[in-house]
Amino acid sequence: MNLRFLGAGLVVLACSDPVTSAELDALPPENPNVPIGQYHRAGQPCVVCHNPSGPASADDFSLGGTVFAQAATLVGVNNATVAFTDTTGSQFTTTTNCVGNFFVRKSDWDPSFPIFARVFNSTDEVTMQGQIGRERSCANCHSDPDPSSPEYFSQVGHIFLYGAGETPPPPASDCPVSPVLQ
Amino acid sequence: MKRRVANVSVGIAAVALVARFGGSVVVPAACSADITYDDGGTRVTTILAPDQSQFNTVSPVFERRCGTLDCHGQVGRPLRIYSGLGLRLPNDAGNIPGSSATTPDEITANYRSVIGLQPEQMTRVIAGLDPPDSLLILAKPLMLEAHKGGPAFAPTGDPGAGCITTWILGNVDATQCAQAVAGF
Repeated sequence: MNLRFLGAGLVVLACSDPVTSAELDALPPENPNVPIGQYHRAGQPCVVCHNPSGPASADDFSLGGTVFAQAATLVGVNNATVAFTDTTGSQFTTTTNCVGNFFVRKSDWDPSFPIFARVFNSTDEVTMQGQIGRERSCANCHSDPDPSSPEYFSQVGHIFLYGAGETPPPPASDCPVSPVLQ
Repeated sequence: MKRRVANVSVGIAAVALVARFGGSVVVPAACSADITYDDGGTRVTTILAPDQSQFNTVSPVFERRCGTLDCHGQVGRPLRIYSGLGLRLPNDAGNIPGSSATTPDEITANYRSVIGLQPEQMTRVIAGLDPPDSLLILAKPLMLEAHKGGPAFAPTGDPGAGCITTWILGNVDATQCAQAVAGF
């Protein structure tokens, strides 16, 4: 019985952070067609779960996000390089997978904020105009709220690599899941 | 219940301080004079603040160094900062983050955020009773006080700190203000 009480106490502790709980509650459900792994939850705030007190704490991220092709579409860009420079000058690069997801494990790079970021491939390059102050989930600022919502004035839109007049390469044909969200 | 008596002479003294620190302005509070209570204590109601006309030069420092969407560019945070690249003042002009330059209304809102963060302490600093870095707008980015956002300014020689300090002291250094946002 004591062990049962101890278990109940641990559950209460795990859910005691109202911020984390609210962020978790706000996430949409998993796409049943996408297994949990590197391709899941494209465009969503990765570090809500991938942090020391989150449900994916075993895979703790310093940063995570998704690169899409263009402003008007949600098609993931494969094999784009995402380069970061932190406030000490330390640099780290990673590469997007076929749905556009990228992530930096804290065990690989634990940066000092603020951080500067740019995304590029062999044809295009986009440099973030401001710095990342402390947010580890790109999607917490880079999302597309409805114009009627208050968040419309505080979100900068999803990350994209190609301009409106360009024709991006087609989505990766060998991707295990669909890189097209919309 | 305490009986409050307006002490006009203290109010006049506040105006005299403005005359002494010519770069500053008086922001009228709810009452135009300070108030003395029965216990002899004085509650200052007049606010001294740095010059708003010079803030156009200073606002970009707050915008670029403090006002990212994940820090003070959030509606729920104190020292709320609006900017062209960050949080936008709600508008009907279609201004969203990254779409256009900071507007005059947003600069005014930033000024109000800055002077309203610690009005009493700001008054003491403008009056020359305390140094500028006693204000949170400098103490926190310089890590003289705990700051969740870390050292937003270098501990010494950061032009951002220089810009804000010279503005508070009444003679803003535009060169330092420009240097503070270069590369940000």
